[in-house]
Amino acid sequence: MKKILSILLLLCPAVICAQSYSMEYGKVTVGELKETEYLLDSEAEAAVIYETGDYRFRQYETAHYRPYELQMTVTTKIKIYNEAGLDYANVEIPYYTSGDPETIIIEGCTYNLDEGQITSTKLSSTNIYTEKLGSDRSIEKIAFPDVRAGSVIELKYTITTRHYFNMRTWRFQKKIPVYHSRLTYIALPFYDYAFIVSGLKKFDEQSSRVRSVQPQLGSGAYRDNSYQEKEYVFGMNRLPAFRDEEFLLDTDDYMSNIHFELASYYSYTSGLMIDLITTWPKLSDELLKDADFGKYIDDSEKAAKTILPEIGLEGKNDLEKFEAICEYVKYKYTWNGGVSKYAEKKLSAFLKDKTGSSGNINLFMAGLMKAAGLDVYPVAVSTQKNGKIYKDYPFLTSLNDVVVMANINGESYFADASAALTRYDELPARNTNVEGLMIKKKEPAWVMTGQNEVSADSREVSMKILPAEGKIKAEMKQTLRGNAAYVQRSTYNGDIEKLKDEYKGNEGMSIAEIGTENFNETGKPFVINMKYDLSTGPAGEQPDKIFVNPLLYLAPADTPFKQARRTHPVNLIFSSVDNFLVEIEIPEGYGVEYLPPEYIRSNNIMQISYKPLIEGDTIKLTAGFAMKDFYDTKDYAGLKTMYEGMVRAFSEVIILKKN
Amino acid sequence: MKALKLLAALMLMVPSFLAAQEDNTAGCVISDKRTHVKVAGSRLVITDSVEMTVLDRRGESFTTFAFQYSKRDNVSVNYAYISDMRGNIVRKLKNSDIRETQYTFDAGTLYNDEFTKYFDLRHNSYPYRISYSVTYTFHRFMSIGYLSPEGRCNIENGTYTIEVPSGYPLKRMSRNLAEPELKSGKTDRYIWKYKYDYRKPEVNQSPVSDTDPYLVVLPEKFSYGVDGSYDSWESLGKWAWDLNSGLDKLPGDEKARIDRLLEGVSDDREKVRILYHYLQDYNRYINVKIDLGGLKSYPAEYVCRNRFGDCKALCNYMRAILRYAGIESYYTLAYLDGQVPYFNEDFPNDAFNHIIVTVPLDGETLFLECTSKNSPFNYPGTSNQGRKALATKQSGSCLVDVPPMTPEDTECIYRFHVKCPDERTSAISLDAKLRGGEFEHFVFLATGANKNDVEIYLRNYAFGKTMQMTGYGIERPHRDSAFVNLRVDGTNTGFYRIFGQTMMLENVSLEIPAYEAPGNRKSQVQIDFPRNDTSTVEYELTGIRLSSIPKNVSIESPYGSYSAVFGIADGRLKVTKNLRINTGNITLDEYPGFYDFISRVRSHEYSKYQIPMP
Repeated sequence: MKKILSILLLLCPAVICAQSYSMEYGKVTVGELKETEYLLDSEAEAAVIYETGDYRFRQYETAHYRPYELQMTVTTKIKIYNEAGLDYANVEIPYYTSGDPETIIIEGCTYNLDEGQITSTKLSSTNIYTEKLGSDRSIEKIAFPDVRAGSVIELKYTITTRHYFNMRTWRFQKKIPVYHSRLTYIALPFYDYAFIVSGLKKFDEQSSRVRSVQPQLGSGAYRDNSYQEKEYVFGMNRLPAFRDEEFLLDTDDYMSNIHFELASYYSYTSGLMIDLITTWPKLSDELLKDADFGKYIDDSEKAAKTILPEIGLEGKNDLEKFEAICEYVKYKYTWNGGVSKYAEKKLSAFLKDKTGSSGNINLFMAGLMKAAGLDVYPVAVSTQKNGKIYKDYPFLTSLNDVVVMANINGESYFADASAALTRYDELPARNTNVEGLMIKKKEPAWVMTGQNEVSADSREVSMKILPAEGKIKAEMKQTLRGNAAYVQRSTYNGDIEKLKDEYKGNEGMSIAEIGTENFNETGKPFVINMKYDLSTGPAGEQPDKIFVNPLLYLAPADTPFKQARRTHPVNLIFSSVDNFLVEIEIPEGYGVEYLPPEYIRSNNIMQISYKPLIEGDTIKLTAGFAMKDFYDTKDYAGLKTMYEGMVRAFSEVIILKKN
Repeated sequence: MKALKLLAALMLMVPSFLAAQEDNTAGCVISDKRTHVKVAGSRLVITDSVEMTVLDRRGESFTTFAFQYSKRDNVSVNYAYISDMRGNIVRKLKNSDIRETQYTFDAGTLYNDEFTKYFDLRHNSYPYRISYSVTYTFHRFMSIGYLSPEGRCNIENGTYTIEVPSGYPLKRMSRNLAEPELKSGKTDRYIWKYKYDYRKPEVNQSPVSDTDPYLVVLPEKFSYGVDGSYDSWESLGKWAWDLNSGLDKLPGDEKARIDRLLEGVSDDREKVRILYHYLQDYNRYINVKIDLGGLKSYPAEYVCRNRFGDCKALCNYMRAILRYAGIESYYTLAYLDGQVPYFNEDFPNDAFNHIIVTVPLDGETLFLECTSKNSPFNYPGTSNQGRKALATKQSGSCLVDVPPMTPEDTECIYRFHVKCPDERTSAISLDAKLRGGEFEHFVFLATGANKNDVEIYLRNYAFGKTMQMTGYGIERPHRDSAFVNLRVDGTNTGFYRIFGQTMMLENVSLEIPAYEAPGNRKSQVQIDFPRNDTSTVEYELTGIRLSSIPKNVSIESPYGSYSAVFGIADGRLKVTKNLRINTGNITLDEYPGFYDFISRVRSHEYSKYQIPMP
């Protein structure tokens, strides 16, 4: 009987929840306050009972060149179940303060059950703090009063803005479960927005209706005309908490939300509808006319007249010019960490400060390359973290960074001078294997940035065993290419101690010498040379034997894929290959008692190879594994199995025995 | 931030290099740094003038300069420019280059009224020089000088000058600095010269450096909120008491609530326990720092109304409700940190950054950490233990000893059961009883963190390569228990391998940090609280008959002990290990012995068991 009941409970959780949750603002029930865990997720520290949005345009009471302002009201009710949920009682609301500053009105209340009675504590102005972030943004920081495990909080705020671009993204899903989320948007014919939906296939609730309106006030051509409003409703129910996973960068793409983009608006001065974006080609042309994009490239091209002679391009072919200019920009200008497709400061300021955003650096480089006669184009990209580009919706906001592409001898080369330690034709992780729009007058094209060179880590090691001393003397040459070189160059950055730290904690290992080659020559592989000793471990029960793990501290000893199952793909960003060549000199008076078996596996997920053999007095081991940059969710089980098999094979031990 | 920072004003004026600094070394050297501190009436004016050389690209991360200041104080940039190595100025900073933000960098603070001015100065022809000068004006102060250079840029020539009116009495404490030169005239000028060489941080490094310059200069008397003096710990305690006096009023409904809570309870200790639980259940820690908020508590009524506060507000409230219950307690200045700080008992100064409540009861002192919602009653924790604190009173303020943790307080017991049906599969279960730092960590995971985040943390970091977690549970027998029971279940692709005639069996290792080799170690070791781990691992190896087992290990040293005892019972191999590391300071002379002890333990713990097979 108990079993049947629990099945029934599982079948109708919504009914159970619906009985106790009030969706009315200002009304909290005893049931809500008594609830000790969220019925659909007993581990949730808090849950959003409802979150409703009301986006609409409000007519000014006085005449204004923009007769409407956008008003966004958000109402939220959150139940807090335990201590971890208290974080949801501290709320931050960012807003814009530049130009016509946005206004924000906040109200809220905390509800508790005290000795059987519902008590309420209103949010007061002393619980709200305004923090100025810079010249154009502030944050309202709210600390709800009287909050504890069991409390229910309600928050209502309205942001009013004349900046129609700032319609806030509606996020249905959060890190805590959401029982009900609903957005109502009342559209005017004067402002046309496109809705970009991500992380969901279908709304639980979706409707639209039209109603006629007669404006009361205002100015301009439309004043005396009636018009129609259109009301859209989007709703989702019983959304689970978003579960984050390792190797997932663009979490927003997987969370349910609606993003708004202003597509066209009515100009009260001209009486025309102004299209902001219609097609990607038009958008591309707009970018080329933009002072902080195309014009900035043009200015850079002009400035190149005095700069190019300094680089010395005479006698160089196009690829050499491409490399020389890229290396020059990397060396002379420093990335300030800002990611942008636009130049965030004027060229004169950039040249003076020697530092700027990725937009400043790469658009400047594009100008220099153009001046050098290269067939070069800026490519506006969406970084790994920014996620998908919705090509049906040609909006600039989906592209957040810029790199440079050159066509040389029929090949495409990409460069990003914001990453100083990458090779000239390699991109940093954020822009590798991403899609972008090549900006070319009237003929833009979608391109994939790709990976010019596989990220490669090759180690050649020679080992000499000293049985009397209980140690192994080893020499290693590590040759790194592609992203592997970039990562180690960044770690090293001129400080040898940082490289030593990589091996710190490896029991029985001591580094005798360590050095590098080609740190500054990013066009060449980065090489680390190291001499080190390994202990053969405490003398065990078999002092006549020596146990050697040839890949100890060289190959992965653990799997990074520890989840039993995954709901999202695995994004490793780079395809990679690791190779090992280990030669072990068999000490005099010893023979090989045990040599590990060969282990070869190859499929569309990984290639793995482990081949030991004896050649005279030497044991030679060649091993390696190759991985892809991206694995679909369906490949996860296979990836996990393959990797675990590889770790096991690579931890094999060779046993040498005294003759 | 849980800190009561009496030195906050001076700490603020140390320029901080933003963000990327930690990832870089050298590439930059400060050739000259001159700090001039002037007491001008009730104001303190500090001017820092710096000449630095950016040697190469690595030095770029030191070329963003940030200066924090509070709303009521001022900071102004006198000049800032870049010059080449011949002294030609290549760029001057303009006012428009200076940006400002109010963003709260401290994750524990909801809001504060501090601002940050910052600017970049970069050039692209190495090497180049940066020169800048910044002046802070503090409109009140309780500390005059503070010198404790840090960061990765060496300082070749440092000058620290304090200028006070002639005869102005000062108190000072210093390390690794020569006596100052004194120039007297209309004013007294004390001038210290110093150098600073960056040293890489070391494992369990003592906070007392034997090379880095350190200086604290205080006025004998000060006025900060109220008048105070550094004559003695008692006078400093009196100042803190005065600053916070009159803030313990409770509203009527709060009094009624306390009456109901304590109805029928006569034992004072039980009353304190009930009220401490009430504090934990109904209030949360939030830091809002406005004006004197960094030093002065919000009134108890503020906490009653909002049910939140920082360490000062929550402790003041705790004291207020105890007082209403007829129990005397003390607002006690403490220093919250995982590392026990240096403390000079002979030099009364603001050596504190936190508040706790102490309650004297029948010859016993109770220590109440009021910012934690899950601390056991009378549990100071690893971040308060083993150091001095200052109990403040209207008269008779005094230093108290927060008791150090004992091996019993930090004992962790791990019981692993490893079941291997064959060479390729294994199931592992762990039942652990955790105390001390491990207890605090796991209690937070169990109660204060999002479960998704906890799972990601546990599966990736908590058990390393020995286990792939399939389930876990954290259980605390009751709210005042100072231990948690942890259960973890997991699998592994194999826990033993047979190579030829030898079985290699995984050792479930205790985590022991790798210390620097004696020749490389520069600073003495400080172990803040004892380690006392017992780990029992039972291996159930189906189909395997063990003809021999590893030898027992026993290591004794003045710094601790280690043992591993092996046995076979019911066909199972059982290993019982115990590791103890004592609290204490280990000098560089003693260090080789300590290193040898740790190395021998690590050698056993991080080796697989090699067992000959029949």
